Amino acid sequence: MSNYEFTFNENGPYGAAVRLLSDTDPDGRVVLDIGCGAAPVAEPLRSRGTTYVGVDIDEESVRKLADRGFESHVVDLVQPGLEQVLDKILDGRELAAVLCLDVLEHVPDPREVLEQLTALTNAHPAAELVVSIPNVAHVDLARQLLSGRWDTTDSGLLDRTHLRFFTERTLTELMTSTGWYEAAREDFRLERSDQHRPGHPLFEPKATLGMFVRQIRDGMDPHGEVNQFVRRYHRGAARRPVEVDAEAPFLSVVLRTQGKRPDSLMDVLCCLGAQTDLDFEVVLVVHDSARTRDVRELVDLFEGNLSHRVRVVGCDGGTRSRPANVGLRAAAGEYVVFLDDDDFITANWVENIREGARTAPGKVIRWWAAEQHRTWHDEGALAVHTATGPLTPQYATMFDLPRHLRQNETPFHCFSFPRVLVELGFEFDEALTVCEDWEFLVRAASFCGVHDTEQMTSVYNRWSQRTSSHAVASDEWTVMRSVVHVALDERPLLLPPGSVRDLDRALEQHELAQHRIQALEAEIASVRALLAHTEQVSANAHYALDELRSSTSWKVGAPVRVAGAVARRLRGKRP
Amino acid sequence: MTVPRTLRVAIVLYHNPLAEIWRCVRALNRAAEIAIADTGLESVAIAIGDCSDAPLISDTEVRNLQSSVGEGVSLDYRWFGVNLGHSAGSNALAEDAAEDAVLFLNPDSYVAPTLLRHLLDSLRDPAVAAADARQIPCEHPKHFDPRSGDQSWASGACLLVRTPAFHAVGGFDAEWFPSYVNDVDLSWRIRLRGARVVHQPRAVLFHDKRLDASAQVRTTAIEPYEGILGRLMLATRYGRPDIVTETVDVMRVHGSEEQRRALEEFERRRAADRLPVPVPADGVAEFIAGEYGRRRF
Repeated sequence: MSNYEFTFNENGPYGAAVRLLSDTDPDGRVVLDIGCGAAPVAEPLRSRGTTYVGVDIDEESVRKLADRGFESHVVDLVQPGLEQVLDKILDGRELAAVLCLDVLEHVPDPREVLEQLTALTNAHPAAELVVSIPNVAHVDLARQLLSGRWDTTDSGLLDRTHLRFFTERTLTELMTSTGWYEAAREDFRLERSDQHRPGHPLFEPKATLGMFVRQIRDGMDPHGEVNQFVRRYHRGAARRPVEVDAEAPFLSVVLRTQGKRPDSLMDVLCCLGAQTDLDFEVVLVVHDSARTRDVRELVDLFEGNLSHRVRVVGCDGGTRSRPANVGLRAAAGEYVVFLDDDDFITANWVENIREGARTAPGKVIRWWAAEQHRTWHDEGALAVHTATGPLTPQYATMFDLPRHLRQNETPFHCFSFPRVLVELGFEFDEALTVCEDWEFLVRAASFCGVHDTEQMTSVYNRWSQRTSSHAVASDEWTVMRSVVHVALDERPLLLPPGSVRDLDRALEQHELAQHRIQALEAEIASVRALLAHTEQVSANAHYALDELRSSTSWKVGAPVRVAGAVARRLRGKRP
Repeated sequence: MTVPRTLRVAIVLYHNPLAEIWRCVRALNRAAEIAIADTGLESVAIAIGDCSDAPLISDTEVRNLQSSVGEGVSLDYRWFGVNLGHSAGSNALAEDAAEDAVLFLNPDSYVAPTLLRHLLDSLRDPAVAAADARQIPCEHPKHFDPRSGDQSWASGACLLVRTPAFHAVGGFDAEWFPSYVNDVDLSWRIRLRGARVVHQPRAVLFHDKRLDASAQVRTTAIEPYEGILGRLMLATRYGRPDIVTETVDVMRVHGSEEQRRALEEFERRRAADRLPVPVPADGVAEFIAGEYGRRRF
């Protein structure tokens, strides 16, 4: 007898499967439910005009289904010649669909079953396949593993009779490799699966830990809450998975340009061509696809060793984040670094990143930039642009995450990060018109930690005119800064070891400053009170004097005072 | 002929890594190919002279380098067997030059593909005898006229000189300036003959300079010594005893150990009367704030 007596529920995975099937207009044709078990979808499908046929290895289930008035057959899905067995059951009737609801995870070789179904449907090319299958990558299972558990249950995500486990990717790979292409989906989502542990901070979405796990899982793909993948597939040619390129370079350099500054772009390409470590590719994103051809022509001026490692990609619209994301998605290297078409780097720039990644794998690698003021010249001038000041060590500071929350102290071409962050859902916020690198860096630093190589291998050019950084109004920077803070505040932020003492020192300084301010304010208040008192005394004196001067006795005595004053002057003149 | 139609490139090696030599040749060859295709340039002969203790490039690697260059470009390598220094090495590579111009190029460099095109463009004016390139990532601060490019001296890291002008002044002065400030001296001697020495900022040279934590260009161990000795010799050659005195006074008090060692060497030479004979150089030899001409910053 089957262990499963699930009932039909419109809001559950069976309801989703029936809706997916109904969309294909199966009226009057056979729906073959393989591994039907208790056949919860039999009545709903019959009510929609289909000829429901259930097959299962469990004789009692098959008998019960027959008792409900449905055609049913005992069939072992792992038997040889499954296709012929099912074809015999069809007996020339037109097949609308095959249902595989909670079945494939129970058979030792689901590929073989699917290939048999592929063969069966050769004679029924319009037939669809509807699959319902548990998601082993549900966030609750990640939480269970983090808490050291993998406890099987009688049913659910960790049903003890499951022989195979699927994620969205492995399911899709299996289906396409057996000739089944997704046509529609209505995945069954559960925020709290049967594996959920109420009250546990790892599981509760409002607990910081739970929120953090959720953040990581959601970054990977949008299926963290999917309990069952419920999908409908069309027939097509079987497609084998593409082999992963084993020759991926160490570093992807994403170089952004608008194609308007060929001279500075040529300088940057020279810097790249001169690198001592050539294990890199360049993804040159032209933020105006109309200029892509001109940029490619400029790249092709260079010797093959450089030009062959440059891919030119066009991109239109959006903010500065748009080309950054285009480059990020096109990057194939182990690490990714960004460069703009007006930046300079020294010849050991890549070498330094690689050395950093070797020393501190998985971390954000950071280095220093010298700053130099430069200016563009008018068209008639001999030089297109020149330096106007010396190189200064403006950005020679060790990375400090809390300080980076106040302002960015790291130029964009001074940090590199593992490309795997893209899998964690990292991308640039396209709502930001500026500061896109700042927000990215803070989040990457929070996830990875930062290794400072303490090498100065970049030159940050500060242009005096005609550049985007100067075109941005200061109020726009202020607004974007707020947007970055709001975005960062939406999620938990990890601080690296050592942060407690750093923060303690900073808070202590803040406290001391507060005390000092309070003391100074008290002193100011005291001085002000004294001043007010003095002013009051002075005002009183003036008032009394005015009173005196306006009195009759004062006026009467005026001639006497004049005579006295004259006498005093005369006495004063005596030798 | 005003604009050179044939070019020799002189590269002096001294213990350079092979990868650096390849980097230099790859970029140079490409610049030569483009100049040959786009301008009237007919040929580029790359002459590499090796001052190292042992040959840096094997015969096989020389053949590989030779087969890597394009049409119209040739490559020759010779090991001097002795450390001649930059001046004598460069002179040796240029002495039999039949080409219209010689480009003196440092091996620790990567030239832009348009470098030769722009440098040759500077020599359209027959009065211009020499031109140098803009260096990145550390741009040289020396002043140049924003319209004409005229400047006090041209950097020898990437210096294009008309061959007749170079030979007319006797090439680099290997006796008094074997490796340092030899480019300043050469520029001034060319200018003293009435020719112009210009800067071409559109010609780009990546010069492999590294920065320290203070954003200063890292120097080699010998540079502080050679820099001061060169300055003293240059001031002597161009009749500026006041600069000699000032340099000696300042370095005695503020100089590093290496710089004070240079003072001692200079004093030894002065005592032995082994100093260059002063030449009149009014309006050409400029000693301004420790430099050899005005600076932009």
